[in-house]
Amino acid sequence: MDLWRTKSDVIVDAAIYLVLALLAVVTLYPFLNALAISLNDAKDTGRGGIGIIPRVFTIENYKVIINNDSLFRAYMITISRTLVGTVSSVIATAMFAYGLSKSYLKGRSFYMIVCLITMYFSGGLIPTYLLIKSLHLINNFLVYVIPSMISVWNTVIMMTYFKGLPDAIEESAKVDGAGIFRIFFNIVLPVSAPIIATISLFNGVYQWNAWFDAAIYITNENLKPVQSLLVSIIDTSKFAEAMAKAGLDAERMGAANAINARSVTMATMITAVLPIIMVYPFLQKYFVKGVMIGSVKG
Amino acid sequence: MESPSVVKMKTYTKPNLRKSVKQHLKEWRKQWDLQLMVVPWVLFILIFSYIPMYGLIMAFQEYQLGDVIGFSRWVGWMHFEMFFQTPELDLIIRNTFAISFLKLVFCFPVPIVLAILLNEVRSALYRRSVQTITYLPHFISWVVVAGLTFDLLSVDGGIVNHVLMTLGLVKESILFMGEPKYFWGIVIATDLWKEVGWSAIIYIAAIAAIDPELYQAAAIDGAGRFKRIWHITLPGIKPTVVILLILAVGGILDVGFEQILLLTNSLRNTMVYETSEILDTYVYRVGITQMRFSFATAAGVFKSVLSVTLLVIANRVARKISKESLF
Amino acid sequence: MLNSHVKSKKSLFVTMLAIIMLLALTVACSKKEAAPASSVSPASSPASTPSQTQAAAESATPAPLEPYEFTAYFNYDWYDASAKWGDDKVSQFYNEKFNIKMKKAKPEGDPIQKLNVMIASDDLPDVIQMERDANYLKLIQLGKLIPLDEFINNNSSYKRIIDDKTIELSKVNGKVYGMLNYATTTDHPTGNGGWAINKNIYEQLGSPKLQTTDDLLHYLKLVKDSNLKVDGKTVVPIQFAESGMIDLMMGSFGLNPLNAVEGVVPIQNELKLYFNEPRAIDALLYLNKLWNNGLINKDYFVEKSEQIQEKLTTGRVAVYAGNNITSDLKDYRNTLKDHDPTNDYIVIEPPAAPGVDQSKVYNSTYSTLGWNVVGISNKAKNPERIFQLLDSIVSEDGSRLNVYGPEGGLYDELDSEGYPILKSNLSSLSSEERKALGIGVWGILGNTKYADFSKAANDNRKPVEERDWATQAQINIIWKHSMNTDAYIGTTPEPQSPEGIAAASFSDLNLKALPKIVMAKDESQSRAAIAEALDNAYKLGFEKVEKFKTEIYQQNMKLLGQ
Repeated sequence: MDLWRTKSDVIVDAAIYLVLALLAVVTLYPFLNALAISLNDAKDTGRGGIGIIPRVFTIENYKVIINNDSLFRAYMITISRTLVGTVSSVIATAMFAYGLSKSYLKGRSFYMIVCLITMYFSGGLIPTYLLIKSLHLINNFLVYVIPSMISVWNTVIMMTYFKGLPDAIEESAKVDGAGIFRIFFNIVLPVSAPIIATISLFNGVYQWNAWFDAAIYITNENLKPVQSLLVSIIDTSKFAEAMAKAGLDAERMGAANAINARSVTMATMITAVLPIIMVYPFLQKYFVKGVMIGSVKG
Repeated sequence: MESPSVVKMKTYTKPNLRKSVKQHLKEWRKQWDLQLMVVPWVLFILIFSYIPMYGLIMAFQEYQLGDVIGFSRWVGWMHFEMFFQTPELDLIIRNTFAISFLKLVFCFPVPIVLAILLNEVRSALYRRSVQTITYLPHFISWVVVAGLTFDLLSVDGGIVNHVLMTLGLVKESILFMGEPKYFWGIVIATDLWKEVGWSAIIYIAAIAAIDPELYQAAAIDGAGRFKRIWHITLPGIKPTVVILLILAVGGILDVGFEQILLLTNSLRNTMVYETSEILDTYVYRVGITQMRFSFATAAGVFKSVLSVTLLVIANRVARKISKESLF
Repeated sequence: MLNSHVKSKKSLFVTMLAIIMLLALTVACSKKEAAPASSVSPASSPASTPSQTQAAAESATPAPLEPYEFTAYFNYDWYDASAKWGDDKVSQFYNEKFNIKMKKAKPEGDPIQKLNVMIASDDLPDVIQMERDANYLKLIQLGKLIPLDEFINNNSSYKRIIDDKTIELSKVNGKVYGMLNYATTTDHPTGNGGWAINKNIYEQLGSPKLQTTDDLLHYLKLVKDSNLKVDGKTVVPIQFAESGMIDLMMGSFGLNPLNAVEGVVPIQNELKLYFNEPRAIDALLYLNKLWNNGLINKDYFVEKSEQIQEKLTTGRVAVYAGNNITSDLKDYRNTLKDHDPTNDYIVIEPPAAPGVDQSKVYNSTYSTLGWNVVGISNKAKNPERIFQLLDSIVSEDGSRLNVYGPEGGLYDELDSEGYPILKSNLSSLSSEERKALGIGVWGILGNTKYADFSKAANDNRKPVEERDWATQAQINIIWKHSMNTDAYIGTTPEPQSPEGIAAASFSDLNLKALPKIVMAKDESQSRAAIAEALDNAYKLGFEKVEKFKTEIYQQNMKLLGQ
């Protein structure tokens, strides 16, 4: 592609770079702003006007998180559920999506309709809770893994991807008499790096940020993930505010220092996002062209 | 050569029903290994998604706290009637569809464009950095984004007003968050900003799957950048785009409840009510905060039925126009 | 070439899978073992606490009872339930005395859903603290809470502290199902609402009279015309708290803030829509005048608490009014003083409309029933022992422990009224020190009178310059302008009933109508908006609401002997 760069190409390139740079700035600014607020003294933040540099530097807002004794245990839970949940979900979704991508799958339309309806109809929280309870998943680590293993949305995306793969790559294996499982694992998956990376990312992020399931199905403190902890911290920082709305004296209830809820919210947000930002580059390399090279030979 | 209509007729008059049940079963069993990849997960969905669906019956009953679900007092279509008799129903429906449509028009294509632009960047470092930065807002909660938006648009020192006044475009600062006419714009802009980077990821993955040899061949044939995008990139991601578009149309009634809730300061801001009240906020206001769960369920059922209908229509249209479809 | 590439990928994949699965298994298994059998309602566990029994036997106070643990659930998502029993002096004291252990719990995320789920699966905690609302009534109806009359009438501190009429008012279907938290008595109105002024601005403009609403209007116009600026930003003449504009104005015009919230006013002993009441109309028109004179900030109906905080902490407000000025300004004035040591906020007597007696202007409301209730559920294995602890907590001694900690900490002696003589201020302790003593942690039933009067007594012992700003404001002004609203208890209709639906529709309508009324271009348009709101309210069936509320109101009045 280097061969054919005309003058107009250079201009267009520059334009593209500019547009992207603008976009990056616009999306980065609020993030830096959040970072600045999280590193700024809460009382000072209340005066307003913080940009991207903290005015009165402090790590007090993070201390609230770090000093929490459940933090380490919560991280262990979060990491476990992210790893286990993501791997199991990706494998399940991939298998399901691959099967559905074959147009000669008998009952395909039926299966698709069964799946799609669930995207729009739901029985509600209580029936789901009762089901989870009857399956003995209450206060059980597996409640983080099993119910969310198949997401119809992810399945559809993967299915579309698999559909787009040329039939040719499977032909030679079929001729060799390979069974569908072998074809799936040995041939299809290796060339599906981009989509596997994508779905892993989606699942991983979901697992990492999940707290609602823990809130409803888990009461055992030892099984709470980090996000539950963070949500709790944010909520209790709103304690003073809530007391004020109720017309009561927060001090009486033990809220010694009214920590600015905003500062804590920012700090927890940064804490939650940072690991994802650190892991993401490792996935990015799978979004690279050329994954298909060599997979189809003449 | 038989005339096309005869061929059509022949293929058309061979519906599956002609095959006996035994024939179907035989074919099914022949691909047992393929079915094995699929059936367990269908069962999974039946268990986890279909069993709880009995809860939908609440829409036809008057659920009270403490009732066993499904055994409350039967009220038939009462909630649906009340829903359709809501005086502001036309406003709610209009807002819901308007915002949804605008989101479809503005927020759907932009991630695609972003993915294509990123694809055209040759420096891997630049591309990766920009991509990472652009998805960051996805992780900023709507609570924070709403707060930020408010600050930016504030009449009391907000940047936007400041710039407008300095440039002499307006004489007085505009109360953006208090005027109904600006609300839709604010919703679209903030949603775009927040999700464009994250939504682009799927398309980036789809583009990555395109065989690079196609690009090289095109370059050799003398195709310029735009021709390459038009003839290779776009067709390459067409299936993904179409499928996501169908799903987006099906989800048209899911306008972004949390976003709107927060942008209206948890519905306390009634100045923009005319353009901000959507189906979900109405149901939240009337159903949830008022503990009228059955009513909320009924509204939900209405929404679900409408969504599925739109999905089916979108699917059919997509199949006719682009030969791609969901089912 | 392809095969080896594929093979290595596959083996990597398989190994990773194996490791993950192994990890998952170990995690799942170990977590299961570590998880105690208790979910939300643990039973007593005699085998697990031999050390406690021993400690109890060795301590001077006789405690032959077995250890007993119960769960206390707080139906508020902002509640801090992290404290562990036994980690501080107060809980240690109770443990020795009663050999009992409280385990706190709270919902994460939506409390309504969590409550629903708990009821649906019959997984209720032993004790629950919640609002006196429809859910509370439902729990009683379902038989989930047990009546407490027997315990209360058995020589309890609770009966001694709380007025009989109050207990009577708190009954549901003739029985007591919940102990009142922060109940008070008619000789002690509580409250936090009022008016405050910015000292520097006030003095700068000549400290004019501020006794009537006309005075207020005059002053605010003065502020606006003086075009004052702080840090280059214009000063806001009057800033109302997020919700408080209408409430406080009602107060100034001789009604009470609750009228604005509930939407009804007593007219000849019947509760009627407040748009019928001429004084309410006057209050609204006054606000309209303020608005049209540019005295209220343009974004009042849109701004959030952060924006208000910014203005207050930088001193950009001349007059601040709201129903919680003490909590707000207590902290904000410190931030203000950091940057401008001479400035301060002064709480003033509320301005009164012409013809209204200033001593009868009400800016806050209180009910002797206090804030919320603590109920004991039918899941509790030993409700009597729970009651014993709760009764102790709500007593004067318990209140003292909760607010000031045990003897030897902040105080050694008590004064003649039984209030501790503080050696050092409560604020001198850091939050860790407070937690270690157990201050503000286990007092789930508050005793308002003791807490407030002891606070006042200690404050008045200090020299004038050292007295607490908020406490003095409350003692001298705010508590004098708080109105008793016991008569309105129970006037909220059940949400699913026709009255409830009409009431909800009305409150929606009210929320939309008020900005229109206040922001109308002139008086006649404002009146028109009020008339329209009145019309619409009755179209939505508000008479049903009036009828419902009136009935309960009259019943209450009779009970209270009015």
